[in-house]
Amino acid sequence: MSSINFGTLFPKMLAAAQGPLKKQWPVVKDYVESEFKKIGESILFIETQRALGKMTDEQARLHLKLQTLASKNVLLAAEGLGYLAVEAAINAALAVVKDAINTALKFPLI
Amino acid sequence: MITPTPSRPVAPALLRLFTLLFGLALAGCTSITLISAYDEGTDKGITEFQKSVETFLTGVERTGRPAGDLSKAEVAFFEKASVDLSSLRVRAAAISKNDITIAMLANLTESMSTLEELVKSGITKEQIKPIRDALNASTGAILKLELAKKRGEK
Repeated sequence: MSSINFGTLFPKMLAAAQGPLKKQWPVVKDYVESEFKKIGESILFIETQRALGKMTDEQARLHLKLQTLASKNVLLAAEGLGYLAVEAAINAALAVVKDAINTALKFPLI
Repeated sequence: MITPTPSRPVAPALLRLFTLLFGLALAGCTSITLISAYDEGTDKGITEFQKSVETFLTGVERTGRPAGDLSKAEVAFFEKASVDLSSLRVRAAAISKNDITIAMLANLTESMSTLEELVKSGITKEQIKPIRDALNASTGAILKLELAKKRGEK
């Protein structure tokens, strides 16, 4: 029987991800939650297989390494999506400033 | 005597932000990019790569795979995967502001090395699912970011 409980594992994974992604969290929350749910279930399955003797410790280590690498890519994608959101916000603000300047000067300086 | 009402001070952070944006706009900077543009080659390359991995896993899933050295077909699959990923990494490195995609491709390369070790160590039919899910999460992450770089382009 696995010693890991999904009910406690999943919230901990999300809380750990939310820390460094605090600013981008509203943008990436659904994506990270969905992917981490699948990764969490895989980790549970691997641990169960190992506990049942259907996987050696080495096989379990390799399986868990795959899950870790997948988690890293999900978090990297979330970081990238966050950058895109920040970029869009800055460019929207720049567009407003540009319009304000050009309107005030009554000619397209910028 | 009329006492002037002190005006409400503008929050310092807001003032700094406006000053920065104003300066950027005056410098002719009407937009910024924090991350690379969309690359069709990466999009198509990762999509094809995911298909080839899925074909391989579907084959293994039929009967499972006992522990042992790689067959000729398996060697050919891993060699092609290595070449395809190397090509994608070279392409990604040639694009500026593409560090995140480069890092994800490095993780995917390490994933394929790990898969090779797993195949040699033996995989049962039911153990394919977490492998498939992990590799789909990895390739899916690369694709998700790449498509998001389209920034609303049609």
